[in-house]
Amino acid sequence: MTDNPLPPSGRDAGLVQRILAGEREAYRELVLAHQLMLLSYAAHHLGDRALVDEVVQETFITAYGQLDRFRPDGDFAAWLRTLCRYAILTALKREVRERRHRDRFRQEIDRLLATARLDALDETAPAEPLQALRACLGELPEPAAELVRRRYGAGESAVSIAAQQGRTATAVTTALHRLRQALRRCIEQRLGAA
Amino acid sequence: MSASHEEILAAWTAEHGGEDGLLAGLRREPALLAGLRHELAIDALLHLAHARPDGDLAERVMCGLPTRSRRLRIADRVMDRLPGRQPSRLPRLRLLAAAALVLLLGAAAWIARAGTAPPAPVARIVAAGPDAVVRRDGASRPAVAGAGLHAGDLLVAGGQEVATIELLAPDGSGAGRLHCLHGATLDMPRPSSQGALGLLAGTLRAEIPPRPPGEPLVIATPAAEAVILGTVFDLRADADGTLLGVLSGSVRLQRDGRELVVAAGETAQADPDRFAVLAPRDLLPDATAGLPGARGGDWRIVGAGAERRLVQADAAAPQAAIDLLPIARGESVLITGRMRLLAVPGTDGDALGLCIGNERWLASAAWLHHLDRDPAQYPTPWIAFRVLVRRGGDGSLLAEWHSWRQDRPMQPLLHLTHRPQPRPDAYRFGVLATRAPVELADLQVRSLAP
Repeated sequence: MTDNPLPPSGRDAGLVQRILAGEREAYRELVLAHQLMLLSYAAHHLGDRALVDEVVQETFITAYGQLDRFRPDGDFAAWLRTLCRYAILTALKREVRERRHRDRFRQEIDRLLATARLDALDETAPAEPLQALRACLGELPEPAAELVRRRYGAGESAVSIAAQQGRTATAVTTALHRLRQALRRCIEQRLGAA
Repeated sequence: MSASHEEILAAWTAEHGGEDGLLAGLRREPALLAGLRHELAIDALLHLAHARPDGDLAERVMCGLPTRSRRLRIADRVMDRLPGRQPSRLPRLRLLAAAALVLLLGAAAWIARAGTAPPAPVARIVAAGPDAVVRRDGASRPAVAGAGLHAGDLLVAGGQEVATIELLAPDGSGAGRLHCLHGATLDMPRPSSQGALGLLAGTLRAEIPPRPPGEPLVIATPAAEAVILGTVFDLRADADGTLLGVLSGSVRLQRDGRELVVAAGETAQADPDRFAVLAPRDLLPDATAGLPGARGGDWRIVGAGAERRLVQADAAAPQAAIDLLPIARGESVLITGRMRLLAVPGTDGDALGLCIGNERWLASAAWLHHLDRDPAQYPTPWIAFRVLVRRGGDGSLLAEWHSWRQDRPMQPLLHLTHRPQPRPDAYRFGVLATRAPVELADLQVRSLAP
């Protein structure tokens, strides 16, 4: 996936003007320009890939409906993040309501997580944790980098990786757990330094 | 939920001694909960970092945008007919057009209705306090005894007094009474709700005589539906969920295709965490045995077995109290019984009460007031009470009190709801009397658990 650096605000304002003038397809450019930033922002809060995707879609669709409210001199990315924050809040509340169909353990885990996420929504989330993550991935030693590629790039399960490497599934799961913790520390350091 | 998401939860479960150990740890330690939240966020970011570099999301967003071929709304159709359509102001114009259309439709409906006979009321107001209102067609009017309630009306009971309505069968005969307590909001059935009454918020007590076979009365709350065949019960709806307490007969409580049959004496709860009949467990099997925590006054046990009563005969004691039990966090306690004054109280104010509090403050209390100075009026009629206390895990407390005269059981005397801010204090439930010879009977204190 290619990085989409934040476009200058003048470009965003120009695109918005074209869309308001009736050029609907110009909105695709705005989505492409900001989708990674917004996905990254939502992932930082939600931690569920499917939900992240849904919330970001909803945010873009809401933004389209309210485009005439966007001030030409405003920061389009910041405006999108504000809309996304409301979409996250709505999604979390919906998640709390809908969890009744799951088993008790999962229900309670989801409830606790939703509460923690709702609390965390008051924090200012970084706009680009994804860029920081990519930089951190580049620093991983090869065995760890391969593990990440197989699990997340190729989509292999921990059981499958363990079978091929002659390890137990628990050992692979534990290694991934430690890797994610290390990546979290790395991301926090990078974002803190930035 | 992704497979890696599942793996993470499995790893955390194993690391913390199983599901119970993990849940206990997450509840106890905010840092642990934050750790799990962050690991799931990193997991989602890792998926994102390895996603395919295509415009997939943009395509889906574009497909989801409103167009004239998709989501063709009334406002779109109106806009299509307007000359000189300006795309730049489209969203706002659509809004204005929709508002205009609503006004036009409303006017048309009003004109159409003006030429026809008014529909028969679905209920009649029997009694209501001065601050009870009926909302109809966007306007509020006072709820007056004798006035009819029509489909689509909202009845909002006043803050102080009970609003009682009589449900009407199609032939105009009575079909049961509803006592709407303390701000309860009742939505009268509309054709679209298939005849279901809506309890949008608050508490009601229903006295419903046996219904014709296959024609149950349905009361829908935001969290569940109560299906009534003929019974007396209390139903409460608030942001936390729905609580149903059945006094006689039985009620079916339904949600998402599941059903509970709640029998007389049982309480059921429907909220995001729970859909279950709460099984009462006696906390004080013999609530008066030994008079634990009694102080002040002359508290005595009189009678035995079913006739056992608790009497405080010392009108000279300025304050006599009994601490009966502590109420733990996360616990729901139901307290029922009856009480009365035996003689003219030695005070002009509160005489006997049930209280929830501790040494420092009174969290919630219900008092029996009886200021009649005529000794012939004593003992007073028995006052039955039903108190539900729910303590949240954060220390918050919801105490809901109901009391009514036993010689007129369906005319509630008091309904109070207290929800103090969360406090770390320990709460206790007890009885408090001020210069009053009083008597309590049938005291039952039960913990409710699913």
